[in-house]
Amino acid sequence: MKAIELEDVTFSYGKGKRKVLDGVGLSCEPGTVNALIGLNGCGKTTLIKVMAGLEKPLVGTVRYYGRDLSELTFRERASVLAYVRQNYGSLSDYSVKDYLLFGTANKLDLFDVPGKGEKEAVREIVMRFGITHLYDKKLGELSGGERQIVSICSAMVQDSKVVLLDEPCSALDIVNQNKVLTILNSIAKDSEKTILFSTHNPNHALYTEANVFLLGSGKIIDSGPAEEIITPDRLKPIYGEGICYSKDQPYNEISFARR
Amino acid sequence: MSKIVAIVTTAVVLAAAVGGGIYFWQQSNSTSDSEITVTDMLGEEVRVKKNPEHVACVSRTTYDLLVAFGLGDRIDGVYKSLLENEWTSVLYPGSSNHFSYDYEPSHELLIQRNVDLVLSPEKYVTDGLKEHGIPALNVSLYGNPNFEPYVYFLADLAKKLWPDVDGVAEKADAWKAEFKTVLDEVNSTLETKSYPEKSVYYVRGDKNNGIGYTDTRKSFNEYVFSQLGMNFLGSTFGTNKPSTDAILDANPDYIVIGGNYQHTLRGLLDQSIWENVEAVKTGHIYRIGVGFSPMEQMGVFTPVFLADMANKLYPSDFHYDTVTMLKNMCQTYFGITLTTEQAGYMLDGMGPDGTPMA
Amino acid sequence: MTEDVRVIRAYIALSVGIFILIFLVALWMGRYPLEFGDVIDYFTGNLPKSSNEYKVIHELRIPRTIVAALVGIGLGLSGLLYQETFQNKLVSPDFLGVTSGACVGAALAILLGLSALMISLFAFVMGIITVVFTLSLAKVFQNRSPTILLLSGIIIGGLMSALLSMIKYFADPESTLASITFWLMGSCEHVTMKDVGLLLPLIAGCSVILLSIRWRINLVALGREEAQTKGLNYVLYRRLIIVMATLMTTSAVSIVGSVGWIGLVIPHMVRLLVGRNTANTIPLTILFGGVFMIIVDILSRSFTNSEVPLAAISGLFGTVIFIAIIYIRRRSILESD
Repeated sequence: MKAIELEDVTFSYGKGKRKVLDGVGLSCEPGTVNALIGLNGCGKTTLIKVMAGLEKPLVGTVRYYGRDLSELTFRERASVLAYVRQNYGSLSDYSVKDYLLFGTANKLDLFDVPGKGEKEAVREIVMRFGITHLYDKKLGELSGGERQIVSICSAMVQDSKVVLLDEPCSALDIVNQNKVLTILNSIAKDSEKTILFSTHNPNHALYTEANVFLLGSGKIIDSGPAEEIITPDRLKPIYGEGICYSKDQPYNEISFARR
Repeated sequence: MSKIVAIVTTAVVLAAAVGGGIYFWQQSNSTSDSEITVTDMLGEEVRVKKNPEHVACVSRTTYDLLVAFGLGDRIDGVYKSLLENEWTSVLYPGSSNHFSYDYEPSHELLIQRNVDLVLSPEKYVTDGLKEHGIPALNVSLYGNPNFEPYVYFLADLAKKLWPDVDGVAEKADAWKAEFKTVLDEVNSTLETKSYPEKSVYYVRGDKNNGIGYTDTRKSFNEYVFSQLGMNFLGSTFGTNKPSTDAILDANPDYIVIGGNYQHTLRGLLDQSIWENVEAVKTGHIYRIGVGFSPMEQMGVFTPVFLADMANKLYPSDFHYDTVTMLKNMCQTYFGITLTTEQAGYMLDGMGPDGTPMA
Repeated sequence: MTEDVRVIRAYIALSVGIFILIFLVALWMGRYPLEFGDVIDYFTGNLPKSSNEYKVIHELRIPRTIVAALVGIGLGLSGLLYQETFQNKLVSPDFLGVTSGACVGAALAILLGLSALMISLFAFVMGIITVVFTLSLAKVFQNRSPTILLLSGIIIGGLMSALLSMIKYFADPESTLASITFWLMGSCEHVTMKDVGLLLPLIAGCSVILLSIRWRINLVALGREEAQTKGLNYVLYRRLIIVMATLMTTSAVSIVGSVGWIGLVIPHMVRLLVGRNTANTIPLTILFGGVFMIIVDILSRSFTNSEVPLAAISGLFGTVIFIAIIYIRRRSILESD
């Protein structure tokens, strides 16, 4: 049973407007890390939003473990998938503690307030990801990297089967990118969750040994394991002629050692 | 489990709130110790204590008539502008005992002063007072469909409210008779003459709002001037603040000016803009006397007002001795001996010292 | 500001105590002088029903104090809900134009010379119709974002203000216009037990609902994307919030007229004390809103022969308090807010 399965997903932002997604199809096995790669503006964010149920496709289906997303209630969806996005300016005066607790919403009844059990679960995750020192801070006081990790923790608190991340590394420096990607790896290994994240940097897929989906012209034009896809030949259709290995460069490109 | 508790709690609280709401709704206010039912100028029936002893005259038109009928010591207070008027203390020294009310006095203040009846021109105010158990009657200077049915309203009301107080009925009837006499004479004289209808523009001068401030349809003013065979222009403008253009266009044959500011306003009519108005050309500009309040506001001196206007608008037909009328009224109703000079000042819209009051 | 649970619980307990105390003070203070013993006697049944003291407490002060509290609660909660839902700390209950619309309804009824009950009814209905207009306008723009709603609210609110001016123009300046002006400035003077009966179920009902889902409301504040993916039916909640806030605001305005600043300032005060978690801010807003409005009402009627309009007093206090709050938070208001 596939964790994620998309079939012929088509989407545009208005009637008669350009089709941002045009017949997208992909599938992911449970417990894998998957990377959605494409250029800026190619529709990565849109695709992830459709997968999260935030936008409705014109045509096509999105399935999680065989169940059609559009047939699930909001609560059920929250148990199936968690969505991590890039920024949240207006929430900056929430404390990290409170924000993480919001992830328990789908497990609580309508009139419930998070109790000891929920707070314990959150503490555990905070310790696991090493952000205990951020626990009492406000979201607005965090750096970009810290924020991203807190977002991921929130998704973990939700304890969903799938985690979708929209360009989690785009605004981070290499050190923090490394941190986040390492965390994503460990999540997939330790908890059998299925991760799908989007990025425009192909190296991220290599780093996480992800399954790669290349998005171009609104379609998945190529897919496969990172070691096969992340080569200049397979990437040329998207990135153009200039794409090459760093060792072919006249200067030594800098990367970050994988832990 | 917690869900059930929550639902039950919510239901209980909601039921309590709705029940509480209904309970409070049912609480009707205690009716005062009332004995008669009277109808006010808006046709509302109100239960009022017979022979009330602490009346709040928020409606300006009620004060001097009630004092005239001998009810001065049953008045608790009056709208402040009347007490500020210089003639009030001259004509009725007892006014110094009266409380000075705002336009919308607080209910607690009225209760504190044991007011048992409020006369107000404002439905909104009387409604609120009645809801809090303070009897209130609408008495105003405007009538529906016009003022004609209400000319004797206050006199009749006084008789109904104070049946056991000596002299009230007699004085009220005397006042009614005096007014009726003048009215009948004016009507019958004008009938025989069949003058063509002329137009009159009334300038309201209790505030200094310029020439463009008048009285409208349904007012007491409209009634009086229509009885004098005049077309009251205030009825035609649709507003009580007509523009200069509108007044020039209407080209009144007569202009009358009332209120404390009448002298200033009379001066404004000398401006060139008014030169071509019929009333200005022919010199038919007249000022109105002032008593407790401007005489064109219904009150005890209304018969004098009517006579005075008849004299001024139809000088060949009417020759009322308004000075004597005024002196007689002051003697009869207030026990005040007015000098001829004082009477003259009143008719001339001046203060007791012979100078304009504003 | 604290997020310590025990301190917050202490705040709530203290606020409940202050609420009760202020309520009793409201019964005691006023233009008609009462001993505090009279208030006690009233509750123990020792006050003779025919006495002025009883009349003043039972018919004047109790209904108006209850209504003042309810109005403060309704407006405070509406302001808080809107500020969280639309992620904009500067919105007030009049965000969608409900207050402007209710004023137009009331002014129209006063112009037509209708009874007090009809004035309230017109105000109530007009407030709701105005919100419907605003939401419909946003639909025309085909955009559900808070900014578009804000703009629609400004537009329709402006339209209502223009209508109000028209109505005032037609009103007789001698009487009707004064009535309209006084009504619009807000007063609890004409409040009776009937008004309590109208307002209590509505505001108490909404308060109970909000108290029971007070933690979930936090998710609405996260915005549609996060709320929905965390399992909340965002669209439903937003609609429910708009309905509740509209009902509370329009019913409050239809009974006491237009009182500003409460919906804007009380949420800020509360957030200053306990942070942003609505599980804490909702109960405290109820208490603070009620206390504040009762105080405003006490001040409006106790020291003068006729009442000072509520809007004047709440405006004066509201602005001063708001300045203090912004000053205290001046460093922590970020660029991104």
